[in-house]
Amino acid sequence: MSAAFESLLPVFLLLALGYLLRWREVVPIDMWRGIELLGYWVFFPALLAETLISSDIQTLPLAGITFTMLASFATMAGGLLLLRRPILAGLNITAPSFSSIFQNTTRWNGFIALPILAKLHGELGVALVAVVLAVLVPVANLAAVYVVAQNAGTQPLPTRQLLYVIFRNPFIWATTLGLLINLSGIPVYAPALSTLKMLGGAAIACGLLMVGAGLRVEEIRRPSPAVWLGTVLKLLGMPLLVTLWSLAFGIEGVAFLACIVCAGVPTAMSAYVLARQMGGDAPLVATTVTLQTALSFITIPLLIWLAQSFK
Amino acid sequence: MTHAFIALLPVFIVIVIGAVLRRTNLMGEAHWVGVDHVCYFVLFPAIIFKEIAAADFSRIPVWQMAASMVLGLAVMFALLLVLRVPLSRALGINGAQFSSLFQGATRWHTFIAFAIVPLFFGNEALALAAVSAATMTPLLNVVCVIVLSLYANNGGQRPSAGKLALVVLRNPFFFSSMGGVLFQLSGLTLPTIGIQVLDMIGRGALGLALLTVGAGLHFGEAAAAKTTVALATALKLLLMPVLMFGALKLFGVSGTPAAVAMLCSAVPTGSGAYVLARQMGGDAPLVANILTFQVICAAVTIPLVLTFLA
Repeated sequence: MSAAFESLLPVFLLLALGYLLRWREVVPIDMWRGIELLGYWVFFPALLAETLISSDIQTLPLAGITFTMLASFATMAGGLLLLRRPILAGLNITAPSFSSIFQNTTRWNGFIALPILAKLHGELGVALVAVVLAVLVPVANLAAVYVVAQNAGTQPLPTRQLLYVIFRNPFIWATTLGLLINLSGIPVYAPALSTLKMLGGAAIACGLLMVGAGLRVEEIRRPSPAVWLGTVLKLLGMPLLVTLWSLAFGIEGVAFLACIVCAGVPTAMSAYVLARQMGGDAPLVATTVTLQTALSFITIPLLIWLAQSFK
Repeated sequence: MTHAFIALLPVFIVIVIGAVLRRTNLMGEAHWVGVDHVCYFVLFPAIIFKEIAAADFSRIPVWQMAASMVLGLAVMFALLLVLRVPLSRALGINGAQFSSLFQGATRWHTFIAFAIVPLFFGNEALALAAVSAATMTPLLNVVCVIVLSLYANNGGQRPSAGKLALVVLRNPFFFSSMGGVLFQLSGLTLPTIGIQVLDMIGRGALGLALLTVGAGLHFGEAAAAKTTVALATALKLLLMPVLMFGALKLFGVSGTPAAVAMLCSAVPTGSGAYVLARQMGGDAPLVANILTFQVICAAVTIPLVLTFLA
């Protein structure tokens, strides 16, 4: 456990540094937007494409990873939707807050999962996160937009706009492009690949700093039960489901570790943006993400330790 | 030459991407202020501190490198100042424009140099680039502030010693390199975790820094003073490395330390020149023009220098 914690410490220190820089106003809050945009549109897509193009993904159990992640996602999403009424009544919350719990539980932050797997397994780890992103991003985005629209009472988006929201995502382009180039064996001009590498090199540091800068530690005093529900289901519930489904689909070793980490990292910041745009409970997302991130300093090393000890 | 050019191509592609992005709605002008800020005050100080604090100085000819760089720059300073009157007359430029020529011919773009060094000399060589930053940057800042105060349009105000000190001390390159030096002198060693964190930041800095170089390029401003731009470019990209080569030979520096020092002298002028020109009544658009033209020409001259070094 302490070895796993130690190897992840740099990742958590960068998150903490991002928070400190914003909190102490070394880099005030309005100065982060540019880094966020570059991280989302340039650095991360470059890293994903470059890794998928140049790594040996044919040896990975692609089908097993896909089924494990989709089945876990479907179980969690289906369970929450089935239990919608009892959750609303039990926690005494409104429908928009339910949509935020849904997002808090089902979405995950690639900006955190990727550095962790890069740290643990290098290029192979990054490739695995890229595969999981390719599988889950379209489905999770679609489900999130749908559930938030239903619960916030906003007009459901017309199909065309829904497709636009989903396919505007640069992670989807980057992973699809990378997979296509890799599987089709098209040669890529070496300087083009090193350009992607140079841009991708900025993804990890910028991603972690900006996620850290987005945390609202000062707002957590007494987390509500809704915050705790989203936190526990995300940090422990999702990894548990992934463990069960990975047994069914025979996923083990590094691939299993990647699935567990992707399931166990905090919710993506884009959940906050979506909640704000579509009338979900945005403060609930922000508070939950912050609590999740703080606790993930312990739960993720724990998950990795468990995964390495028992599989 | 072709080999060096191809190896450098990614650097220039990333610069072009930065220039293109700034002209899009997605990443317009306003967003770059924060990006520059993070790069300048967080990421680069982290690299420079780490490289100097963790360097093994018993294997780097620090004093010879520093002396060569001071000498190379001093020769260029002297040349420009001695020839100031005839040069200004021949080019038809005023004092503010001369100060821009001066900055354009002497300063160096740390972001570009730091991005190129690992491509050709490996990550270890970044320590040598950090030595260059620790030596050249404070010297250049002081001299450029004095030159601007003497010749630019600021009503003939002489900067006080206090102001000069502030210019040097406030520069993040200065305090991060001095921090690194103090750490070295203290005899402590950086814990592995610290090195890992600083390395992660450092790797992030290089791509980001090159994008900001591109975003800072200005095309088509102040098309006048073409000869001044051309002269500043020839002095910076060609004469400066030649002077540095002579100085390094004189002090007996060779191998990778000499190559990195020469590369640092051969990159385009720094974006700090623009900020200083704006603050102190220099000709800032001219500085921007010089930088842009130099970046374009550097695509040819830097491979030339690197081929010469090989």
